[in-house]
Amino acid sequence: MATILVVVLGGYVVAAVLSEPVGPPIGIPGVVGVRPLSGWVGADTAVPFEGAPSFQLTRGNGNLIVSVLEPYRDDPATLADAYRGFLSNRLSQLSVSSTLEPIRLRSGQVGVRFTYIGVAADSGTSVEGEVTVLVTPSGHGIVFNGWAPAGLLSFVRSDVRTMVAEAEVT
Amino acid sequence: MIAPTPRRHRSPLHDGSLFQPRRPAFWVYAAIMIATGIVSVGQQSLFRQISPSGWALSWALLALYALPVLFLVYVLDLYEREPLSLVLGALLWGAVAATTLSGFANDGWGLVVARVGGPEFAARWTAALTAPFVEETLKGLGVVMIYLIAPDEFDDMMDGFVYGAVCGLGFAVVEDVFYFMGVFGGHPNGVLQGFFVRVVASGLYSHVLYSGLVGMGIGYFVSRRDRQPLARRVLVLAGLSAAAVLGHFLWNSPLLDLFPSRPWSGMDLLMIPVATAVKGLPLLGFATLAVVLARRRERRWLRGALADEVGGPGISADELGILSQPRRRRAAVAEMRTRAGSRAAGLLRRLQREQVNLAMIRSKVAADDDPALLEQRAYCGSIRDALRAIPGAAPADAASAAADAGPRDR
Repeated sequence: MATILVVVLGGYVVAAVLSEPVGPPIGIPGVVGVRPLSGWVGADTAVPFEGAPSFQLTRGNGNLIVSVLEPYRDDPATLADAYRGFLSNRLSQLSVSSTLEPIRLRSGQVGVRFTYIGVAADSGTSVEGEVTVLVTPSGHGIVFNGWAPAGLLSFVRSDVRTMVAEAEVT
Repeated sequence: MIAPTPRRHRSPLHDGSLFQPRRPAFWVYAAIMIATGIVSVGQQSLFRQISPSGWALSWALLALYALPVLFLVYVLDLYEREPLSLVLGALLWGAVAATTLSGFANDGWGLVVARVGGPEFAARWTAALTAPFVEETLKGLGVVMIYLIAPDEFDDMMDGFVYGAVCGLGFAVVEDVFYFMGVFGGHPNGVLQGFFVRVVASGLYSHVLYSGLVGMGIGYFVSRRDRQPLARRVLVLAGLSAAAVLGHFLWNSPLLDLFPSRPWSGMDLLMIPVATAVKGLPLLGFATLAVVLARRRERRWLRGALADEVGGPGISADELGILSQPRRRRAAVAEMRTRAGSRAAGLLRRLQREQVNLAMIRSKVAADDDPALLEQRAYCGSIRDALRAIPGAAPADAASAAADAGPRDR
């Protein structure tokens, strides 16, 4: 039984130990901060969403772009819809998950999540991503877009979810 | 007067069945099977909903592959067929418990690989760095579980090989269904393509081999406690397990990868069996060699164990000559059927089986006059008497006149 427990659960335990945040939070002061896990570093944001302030973390081909709309008065579902529109301008053959999955950050903020896959119009590369959207009581719309080339998202999804779940949202 | 057929008896040295409520291992096995079975049934139900025809075709095709392999593995053990309930228990462990637990475990250790190596490295190496260790351990634990439930059924390496290979077969079948439905699309055309890639081109090299080797190591470790030092038993178990893990690692790794990329055209379809052979043939050769050596060892063991019994009531020299060669055993039974009918053939087969049991008892008891040994000798003698009483059966048995002369003083 002990061997089974070690084999089945050991990976999760070791991965959790290895997933400790390193360094100070990166983000937009007073609104949102993300503490990068080991291996993740800040990078320049390629194309911001509706000209909104943004920042990006990257690890190899894995990326997390965070954009903040201010002020934002609608609900998360509407913001998610707007971000889908943004993606459809950037990606051809875009396919988006049909439902919005409700999620809750460790800070207590609630939001919605959807996934997508498409082909980058400029490079022709297939990409897949997972978008988490929330609207803060202070009137900020925040979009977390974790993405990677097709086939690689599954290898960064855990990191992205950890960083999003533990994001410091004011 | 025809002698009455001796009543069947089970050797006191064998447990014989999966259902051993007095052994804690049985309840652990049952609990794990129930828990993982719920998950496994849920997954199959989902596959069935996604594509009923593809799902049914998957199972039908895999039955065509699995049933002959199961039979082949089952009869590989020359002298003693393992109890069916235990064989099925190993098969179900591989199909249900090992696959379900491996799914969780591979995901967990995959996170570690991604964390340590990054996404690009993980995409290339996760399958090689997780599955061989996780899956061989969990399938091997199935063999250990069978051993803990019925320890006396593990008499030699080949017993471990049978349970291990059958466990691997169960694993391979369920994993193939997963691939047919999840990777090859689940529609009938995709299932057929998956069947070609994973069974026709790769079926010889899969989990049956890996787990067979691990099982062989476990069989050696547990059956040689009285004859080999611990260090040597650990070495053999570790060596065979390492060979299985290494073969599995090579199979899953990007090394020596000649596999054509999709979509496949005519030439690619020819290249697929070549690509799988490059990765799989070395381990197949190693496993074949291991089985041949184990069978030779088994034959030597049988002759050695029965050497002191020859001429006694249990077995004659000619009977031993026939018994130690499976082909001659089958020929003798067939010839008996032609000459004296099915009942005589059945009795001869039973005599042979009990003579193998005699060898096992002989090798396990210390005293020459151990009650179990005396009982088994007498039992073999009574079967022989019953056989000779059948009209037409005696001539084939005439050569065992030495045994007729009566029991030696033991």
